[in-house]
Amino acid sequence: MKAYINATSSISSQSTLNEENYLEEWIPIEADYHKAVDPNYRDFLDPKMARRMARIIKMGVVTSSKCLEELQNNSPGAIIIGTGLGCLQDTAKFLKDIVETEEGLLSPTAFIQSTHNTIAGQIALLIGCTNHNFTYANRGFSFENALGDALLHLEEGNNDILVGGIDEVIPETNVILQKLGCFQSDNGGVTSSPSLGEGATMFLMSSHQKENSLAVIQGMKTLFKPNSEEEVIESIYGLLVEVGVEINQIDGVLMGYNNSKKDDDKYDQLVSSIFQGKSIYQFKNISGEYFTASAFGCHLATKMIAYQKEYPQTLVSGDSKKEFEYIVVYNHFHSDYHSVTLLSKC
Amino acid sequence: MTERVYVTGWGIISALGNDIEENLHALKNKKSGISSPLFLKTNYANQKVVGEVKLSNNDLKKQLGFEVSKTISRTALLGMIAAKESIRLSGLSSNELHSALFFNGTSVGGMDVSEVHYKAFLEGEEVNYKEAFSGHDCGHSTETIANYIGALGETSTISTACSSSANTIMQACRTIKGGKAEVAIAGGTDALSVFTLNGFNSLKILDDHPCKPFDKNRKGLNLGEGAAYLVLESERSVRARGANVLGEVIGYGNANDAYHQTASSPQGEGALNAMRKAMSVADDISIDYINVHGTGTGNNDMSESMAVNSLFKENMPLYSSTKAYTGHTLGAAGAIEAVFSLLSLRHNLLFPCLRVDTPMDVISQPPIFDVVEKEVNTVMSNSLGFGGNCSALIFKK
Repeated sequence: MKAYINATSSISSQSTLNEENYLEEWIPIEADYHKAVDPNYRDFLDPKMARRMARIIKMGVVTSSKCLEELQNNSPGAIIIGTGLGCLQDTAKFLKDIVETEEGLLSPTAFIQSTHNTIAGQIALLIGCTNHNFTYANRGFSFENALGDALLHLEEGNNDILVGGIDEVIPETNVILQKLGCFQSDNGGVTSSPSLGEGATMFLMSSHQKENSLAVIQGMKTLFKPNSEEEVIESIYGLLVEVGVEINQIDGVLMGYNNSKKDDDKYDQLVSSIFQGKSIYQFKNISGEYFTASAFGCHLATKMIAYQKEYPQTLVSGDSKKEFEYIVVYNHFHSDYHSVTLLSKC
Repeated sequence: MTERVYVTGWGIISALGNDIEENLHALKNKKSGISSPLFLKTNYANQKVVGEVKLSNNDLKKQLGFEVSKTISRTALLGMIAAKESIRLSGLSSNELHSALFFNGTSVGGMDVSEVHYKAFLEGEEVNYKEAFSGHDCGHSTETIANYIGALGETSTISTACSSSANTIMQACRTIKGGKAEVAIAGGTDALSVFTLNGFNSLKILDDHPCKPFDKNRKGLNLGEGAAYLVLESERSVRARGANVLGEVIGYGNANDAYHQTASSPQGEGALNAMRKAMSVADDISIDYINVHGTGTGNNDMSESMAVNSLFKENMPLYSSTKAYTGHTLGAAGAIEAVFSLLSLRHNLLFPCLRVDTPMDVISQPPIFDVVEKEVNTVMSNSLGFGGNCSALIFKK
């Protein structure tokens, strides 16, 4: 099933939220992770709400409202969110309250906002959307589960699906993830920036082409714990065969290089096999690494196709390109969660 | 989209018992599993009652063949017990399992472990980070269970609060109907945690005594824990391996109440929409019994009553909530109640609301108060949650 992307919006460590200056200037990364650039939330939300809502929810609400501008009735057929770690700020706050009061008298506000489905729930609440509403929290498949669900909806005849991937970093998890060695760079990779990141990326999708359609998702495949590189390659070929595209038609490959040698080796293996000679791009020097970073990969591919251009600081190897008919986004988390998504021009 | 989806395996662990038979026995004998917590370490141990699984983490680990010194979240442990039973009863071979999809629902994942270590973390004490936090995220529980049972097709984790595992069953059915899979294991797991106990307590919706859903004077819910999974299969797969069929999933629906982050709308519109969608998928089949969400809070039972009233009007089926038995098992509730629904279909038995003195009178007829023996062909099961997430499933003999 083809999915036409009619809008996409992303908050990342670079200027990706606004059309006007999209990735025009490189913002130096000052934090020890790819901290997402917060917009002025009051431009999008009433001040009371902007103050009360947790940051991750605000990121979700802003990116989804940008996408929904493209939908006349403002009512998507489904709202589907992927988030690997969910609403950490409120989870951490409520845990801290429990510790500090030794299970004393607690305000429920943080608990109320701590559940993973708060983001999708708040989006639905704000626009009064009573349709299908799902939240996936599945490690390196969090966004892929959501996207797969969106494609299934389009196949079933539902339309105008709002789907996205969102994760946040809070100081506590920054420390914990560092100690766990999760999402950390070891400077063996292709860039020298930190690895961990955060952000929100949303898409609005339909089963038929519209005037404002930007790109098409031709298909997506996930592979859980493959036994070998061959299995990964087979899976990528499997997707191409399914949609009837030859490997030589692929103009660019967006790879989830994350600055960790162990992970990047897996990408390099594919560059020297199935993707040999292709223009290879990275996207995590913009988004950073997190459970739903692949959503940003799909977002960047959409932009490359829609505007027929490559963005500075993303080309890793191969020729610089000006035309993109087909782009592959390939990502894996800790070699266990692999996903490949094929996008094309409308 | 004409593929039918059959249930060919089931597994459960709850406050009522550690497998299907034990749960059935307790349900039939009106034996509730609500008691003071034995294993949950909380300052509220003497004040609150819960639907706790009557096995310690070490007991669970021994049953599963793990070293007791290994850190594994109770959420994953409960999940492995129930998933293992579902596979055993389905008769799936390890080969057939290898490509099976695994859909898991959980609301807090490995919180029961991380919350214990968070105090030390905040106070700057030494923490074994890997043991303390690497199993925190919901997907980790899924990964652990999928590895344990050897279901390596693809994993999916849904976290939609109290409707999580109803949604995994729905999602597995849609995936099979869409021709994307032949076999899927779907359900959910949640362990009791200090986090959720304090959360629900802060919302002031816990009854300090054993709860009594659908009583006029109900005071709130009791939290529970557990896990349950169904093995779901396409017709083709059932035929090919001659699988034993326990029932069929003929309807499912999901809708958002879009009213409030935690409270249900007065008229229960989300629940009504979810039930309507499920009925439409099931071609408006006549429903013999509803296992309602019925948590025992003032808000839920009123709102849900309004919703079922609007849908069924004078044709109200028999109904009850089984949460007085198990407590509210959050992310596991949908799957646990799916197993109870299938038990009703298999044994022609309906399990009652317990402890009701003065029944609510919103619905023209009260819920059932005693075990009812009756031919049951169709059962609807509701799951309603935080974030306005409402789901309904319909099972058929």
